[in-house]
Amino acid sequence: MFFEFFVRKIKFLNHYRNYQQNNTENTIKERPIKIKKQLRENLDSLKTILGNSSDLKIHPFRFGANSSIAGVLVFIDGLVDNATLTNAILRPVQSWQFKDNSFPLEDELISVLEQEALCAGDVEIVKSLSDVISNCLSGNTALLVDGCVSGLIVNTKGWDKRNVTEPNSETVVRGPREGFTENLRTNTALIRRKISNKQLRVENMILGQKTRTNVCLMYLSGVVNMKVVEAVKYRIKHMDVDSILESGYIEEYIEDAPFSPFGTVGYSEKPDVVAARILEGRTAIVVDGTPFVLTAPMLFIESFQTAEDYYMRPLYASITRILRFIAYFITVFGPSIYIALTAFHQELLPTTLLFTIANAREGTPFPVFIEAMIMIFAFEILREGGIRLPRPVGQAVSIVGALIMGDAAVSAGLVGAPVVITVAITAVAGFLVPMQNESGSILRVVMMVLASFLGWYGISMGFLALLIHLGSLTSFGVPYFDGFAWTRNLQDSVVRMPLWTMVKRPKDIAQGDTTRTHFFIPPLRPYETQDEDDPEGERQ
Amino acid sequence: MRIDKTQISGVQFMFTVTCFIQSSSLLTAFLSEITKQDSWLAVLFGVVVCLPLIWLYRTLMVMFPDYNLIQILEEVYSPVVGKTIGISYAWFFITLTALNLSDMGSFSKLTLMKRTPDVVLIVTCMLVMAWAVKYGIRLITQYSALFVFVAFSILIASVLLVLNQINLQNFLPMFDLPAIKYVQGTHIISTIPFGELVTLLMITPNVKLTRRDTTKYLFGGFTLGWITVLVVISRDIAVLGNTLPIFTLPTLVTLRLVNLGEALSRVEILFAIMLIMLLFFKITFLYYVSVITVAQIMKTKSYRHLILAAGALITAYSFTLYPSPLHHAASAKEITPILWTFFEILMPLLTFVIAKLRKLPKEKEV
Amino acid sequence: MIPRRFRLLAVFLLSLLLMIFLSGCWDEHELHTLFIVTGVALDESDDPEKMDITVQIAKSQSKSSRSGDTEPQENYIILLKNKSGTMMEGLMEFNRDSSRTLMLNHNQVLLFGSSLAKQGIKDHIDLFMRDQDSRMEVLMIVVDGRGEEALAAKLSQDRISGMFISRVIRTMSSVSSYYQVRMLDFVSRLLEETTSPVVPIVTVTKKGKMEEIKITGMAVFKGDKMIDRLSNDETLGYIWAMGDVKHCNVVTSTEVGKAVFQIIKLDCKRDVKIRQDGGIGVKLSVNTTLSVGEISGFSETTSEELMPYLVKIAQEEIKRKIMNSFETARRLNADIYGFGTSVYRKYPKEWKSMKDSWDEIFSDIELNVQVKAHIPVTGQITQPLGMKEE
Repeated sequence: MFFEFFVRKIKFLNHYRNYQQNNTENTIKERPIKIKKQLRENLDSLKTILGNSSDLKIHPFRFGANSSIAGVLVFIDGLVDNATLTNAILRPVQSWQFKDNSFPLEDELISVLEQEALCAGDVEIVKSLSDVISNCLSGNTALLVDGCVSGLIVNTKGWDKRNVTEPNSETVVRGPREGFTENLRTNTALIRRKISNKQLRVENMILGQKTRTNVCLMYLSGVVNMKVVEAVKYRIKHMDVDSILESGYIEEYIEDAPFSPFGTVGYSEKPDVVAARILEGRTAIVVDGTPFVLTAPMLFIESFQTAEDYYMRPLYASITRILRFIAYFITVFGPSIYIALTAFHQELLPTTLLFTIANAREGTPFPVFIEAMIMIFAFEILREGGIRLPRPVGQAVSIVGALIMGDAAVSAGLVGAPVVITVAITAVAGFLVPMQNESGSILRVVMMVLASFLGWYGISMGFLALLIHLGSLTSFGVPYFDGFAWTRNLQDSVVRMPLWTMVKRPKDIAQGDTTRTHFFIPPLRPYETQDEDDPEGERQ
Repeated sequence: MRIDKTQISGVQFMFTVTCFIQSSSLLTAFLSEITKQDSWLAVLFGVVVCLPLIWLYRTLMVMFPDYNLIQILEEVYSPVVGKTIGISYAWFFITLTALNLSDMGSFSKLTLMKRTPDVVLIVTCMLVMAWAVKYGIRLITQYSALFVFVAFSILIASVLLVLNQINLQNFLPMFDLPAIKYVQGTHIISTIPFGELVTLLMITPNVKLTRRDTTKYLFGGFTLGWITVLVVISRDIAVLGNTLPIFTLPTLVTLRLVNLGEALSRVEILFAIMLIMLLFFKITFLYYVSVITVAQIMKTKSYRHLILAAGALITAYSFTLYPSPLHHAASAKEITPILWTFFEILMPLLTFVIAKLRKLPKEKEV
Repeated sequence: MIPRRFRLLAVFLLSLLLMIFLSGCWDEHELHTLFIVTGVALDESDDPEKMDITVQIAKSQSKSSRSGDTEPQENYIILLKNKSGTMMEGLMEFNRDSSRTLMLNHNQVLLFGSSLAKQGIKDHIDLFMRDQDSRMEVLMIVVDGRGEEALAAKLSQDRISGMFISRVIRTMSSVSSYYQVRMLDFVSRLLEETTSPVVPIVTVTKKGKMEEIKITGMAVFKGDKMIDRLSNDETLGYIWAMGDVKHCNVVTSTEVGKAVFQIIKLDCKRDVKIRQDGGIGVKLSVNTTLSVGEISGFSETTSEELMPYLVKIAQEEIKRKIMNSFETARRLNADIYGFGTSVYRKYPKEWKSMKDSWDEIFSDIELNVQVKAHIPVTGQITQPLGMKEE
């Protein structure tokens, strides 16, 4: 019975693999409904399809010579900007005069309207009611004319959207404070502003059978590895989902190793970060409705690189980066090393430290492993609770949790003080590498279990298994972690070398054009001039 | 036909060689028992003796750039004879793996986990290694640079830490032992750490380098390796003096003696780190080579289904190799070097000579 | 199809995992199941086949039971005593009879009672060398009297006498590393066959309610049996002859005045030569930098003559002490300096024939000591009070 569980899981994995190979593109198989000549029939069909929704507005009007032509504006209230509606469509159409007072043929009417009458920049002619419906649901207005089998779609999108503010998840001390918003066009515009390059491509797709979310792929066409772009497009097209509410949905479907604690698709909320990644040759996936933009492929090192690293000076940036590596190491191995040292290998502690820890452990009822698990569990509860609670109450939670719980537990003799300190340092160290929060938490517990069974040997085996797993991961064909094997440039890995040393782009990611700059030229010193008459620099 | 399609770069190759030799720097006990305070001289003699040997390996690699060792044997001798010799090499590689595995198990048991049964230690280790071998040579060797860097840092740190306990008088007197001991010591050094580089011939198809690069990286790695061994042995002699021959793990004792202030003591954790890291690398590499050898002899398309079976075989083998550590040590001093000479020195030399006589490799027809 | 293979694989892996996790953690010793041993003492026992083993254990203090400083000694240490033939048997008996396992990893000192030391200690230290738990940095000490007295001593300076002794010795090792005899050094000297190891000797004296432990010299061993002891003065001579001394005092006293110098650095080079008649000649060249610590007297000397005179008396004092301790060593026929090893290192071929008759050769050694002192500083004042103006 127990093995049936595993067998079912394995059968499903198999099915999944087959499914991916055999699946064809995700097309919405609906037969398009044509626009009929009779306006009334069209309106009836619209109302039926949309089920008489109360926010579907149908505004009939007459225009043309002697107000003889009947037209209808179809739009969804709340999604359209009424001013645009009026100024771009109603006013010009209603006040439009036929040039020579003749009555153009029905189909020509639409094109005449489009080209001469309407005062809008984004106009499209459609021939099916399904298009009309999908456009109206996106916030555009449809103009249907009695007797014409085509309709006009005008872009009148104007709903309430959030302003461009500083993102909550990635704050910087120095650097731009713009963050993406939930609006797709704003996001692509923000990226366009950072990279004003004609090679920047924006490709649109519509995903999700029910939500019909707009998703944009952005990349630099001369620099990017087209195989990666093709891989991304292939995987996205083969996604069999009915809703895309956030970029995380897409991330789960396109990532390389769904069962690994490490994510192979990066995300960010800041346009300068995404722009930097695009410039290195990555592909950005912008999803309508979320400020988090995905970037593919992602390397392990990227979780340790923040945007600020590149705006600060290299020496301090390198120190901070090394600090982040150490912090990640502490957060994954901290409690397990403590468990291994105090429960298995007491000979590795200096004698006086051993006395201190022995005194602290005297009288505590649980083994070290249980103590550490209790404290980590408490910390995770506090962290999660702190996120969910409204802000004023959140402060109280942290004070209550940190001071009182920890202190009271130690005084009551339930846990030893060294355990509390270790777990506290572990937890705080986890905040330095926010992108690896999930992996850190999972691996921490796994290492603790290993340490409690096999001590230092268990930690070593766990570490090596972790290295092997990291080494085997690839992100869209690019190796995720190369273990500093010197196959790529090391200028931006453990330390951040000055920007003028980063002459080439990473080869794995940027296939097209790997040179950023041509020469390795350190910046001129302030007193160095290139004056030809004064090569010694005497004349300041 | 290549069984494993992954490629490794030149720099990775060099660090692989270094890592390979560095892992033997911890197993110097059987050498120091024989040559006592002149062990460092034995190492130097071993290096001198091995330089032509490494040149021989390099020549074989360069002459047959797309063939691994078994294929070379089949090409040079007739397929039947070559396969027979190949089977004996398969035995050799499997024995090497099992030996190193039992070393790792006994070292870990002695220093880290004293009461855990050997089985658990070794099987845990083998499972992780089997997982690594599944992914091919690129994964196994990609961490070699990191391991070499860590090993060198630990080496330098340990030398600095015992600096106040080094007594250079411990190296005297030199050349006091009978000459036969030096010969024996040199023989041991050249077959056990340095000669095992013959396993590199099995990964020749995965390393795509020019002639010059092969020489450069092979000798570069070898140099880094023997420098490590030399420094380790010299440091142990300088600190331990005449007590060196009585210890089974001189490096551990040296590191235990470190006492700078009250806080910087008990640094034998560095020993444990180095031991597990380097031995893991070496055993995984040898495991991979054994599996590839068997796959090559049986001419299978993929080696993946052999991994676990070979692993089980090697595990059982490592338990039954020697009845006790004393037998192991005695054999390492006396029997093993002679046996290894056949595989590491005689066979490659013979293969090279016959290949030259038969004017192989044949020029490929355009 | 595939599920069967996967099922077998799953079974296989699961059973391996279960094997590791279900059978338990063999090596886990929680701290509250361990006794931290800080000192071991071996003494002679009434039973000639056996010896008395005493083990000093540092007790962990739980927070609730800690009160003031006037705690009785029993709250900090536990003493376990045993009688057994060998060390190993003794430890097994301890482990059998106590509630926790003994952990020798942090053992600081290994004390020998002087009567046991006279009988020979080589057989008893084998366990400490062989066992992985014990470290080679354990300090070897001989106690004037019985070893268990030192472990049971109530000291005013420190609660645990084992830690106290090891700290005192480590402090003194900053003067010269030859004060500190670790197990490794002792074994190394034993292996040299001709060298006589020396080991610090401590005395326990009672002072009111408390006891006091002082280091009162060095015990001289021949082979592994203790034969005699060096007094503190002779120890100084031995230390100086071995070289590499810092922050030691040279006390001189002449009719003209008293002077105490502080050695900033003292190096001693030794040069062994084989004489024509087959004996050994050793030349010790001592090179030292001193600073003047205290002067009193010297009322008849001028300040010009002062410096050379001070240098002279310092040199004489150092030479006198070294010759003194050498005479003691010669009288005991114990090569505490390791001259034999120096000969071996320099003349390995001749050493083979000299090795067996080393006793005679040692008593016949010609020692030539030359001291060169250099005094760069005299402190804040240049001449003592009451010195004559010139």
